[in-house]
Amino acid sequence: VTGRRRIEPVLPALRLGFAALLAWACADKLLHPYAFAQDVAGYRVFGPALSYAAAVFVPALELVTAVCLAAGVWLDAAALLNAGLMTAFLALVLQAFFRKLAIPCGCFSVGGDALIGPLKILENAVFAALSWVLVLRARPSGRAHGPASPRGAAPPEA
Amino acid sequence: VRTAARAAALAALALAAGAALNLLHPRGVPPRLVAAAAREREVPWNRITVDSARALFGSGRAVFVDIRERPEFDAERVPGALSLPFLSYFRAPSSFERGRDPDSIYVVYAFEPSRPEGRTLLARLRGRGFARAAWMYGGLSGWLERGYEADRGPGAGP
Repeated sequence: VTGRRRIEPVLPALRLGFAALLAWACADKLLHPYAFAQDVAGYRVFGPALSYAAAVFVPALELVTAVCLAAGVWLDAAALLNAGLMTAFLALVLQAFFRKLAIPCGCFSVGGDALIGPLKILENAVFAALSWVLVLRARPSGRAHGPASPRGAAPPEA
Repeated sequence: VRTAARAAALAALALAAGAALNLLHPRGVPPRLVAAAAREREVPWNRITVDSARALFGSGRAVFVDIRERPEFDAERVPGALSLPFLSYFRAPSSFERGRDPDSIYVVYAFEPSRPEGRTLLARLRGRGFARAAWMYGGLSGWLERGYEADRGPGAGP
């Protein structure tokens, strides 16, 4: 059994897991957009205007991505957006940590999360890595798993 | 290419959904707040010290404006101050601006010495012709530390 074969049964769970994670993450942000904007501003990467705009856009992007991942619609694009979000979150958390910003993450609830630390970085790194596994295995046809390429398939019999 | 195009389409859908949800949200981010935040660096950050503010208070030449939420305002404030919660102002600025003399001195404050929202609100007020609006640098905390007088209990709105 190859490594690629071993990972196939895990992919639907990974896809649904990310859908649930994103749905959970966006709920509190959608309910409290202004408070989320304060969390975004705390990262001191965006100016105030962009922080407000991000507070409106990011939760909606998480919601749309979650719906697509859960429903299996445009999985290739949804997986790519998911990976983009997870990688961006990792980058933001990393820069906040190295700049010694004592701020809440704002990842899953606004204003109430624990402060950013090594565990939060590890959590984000794991999510980012898994999200790219999903990108590499999602096919443009919309399937999240299955043979990655014809190279892995047996040649047709003559 | 197809994956990227689909991802862009989903992002555009999220942008539209985010804007719509925010407009429908009773505690959403008002668009005029984003506009004011985008312009705030073009506007001089007009600040006065707590002691200067106290001198204006003594002369009766200034209107004090408290941008905190109503429960905080009711708990403790500068005597005679108006309550103008930050988000409420951006949702309905005319309720404050209508019939108010733009040539008066407006001393805007929060509890903290400085708050990012203060600069945004000042940018908006000054952009609307309230050229003598100023931020009380030091905040209500500085005011109380100096032993200046304070009112407690329900106060006036805009």
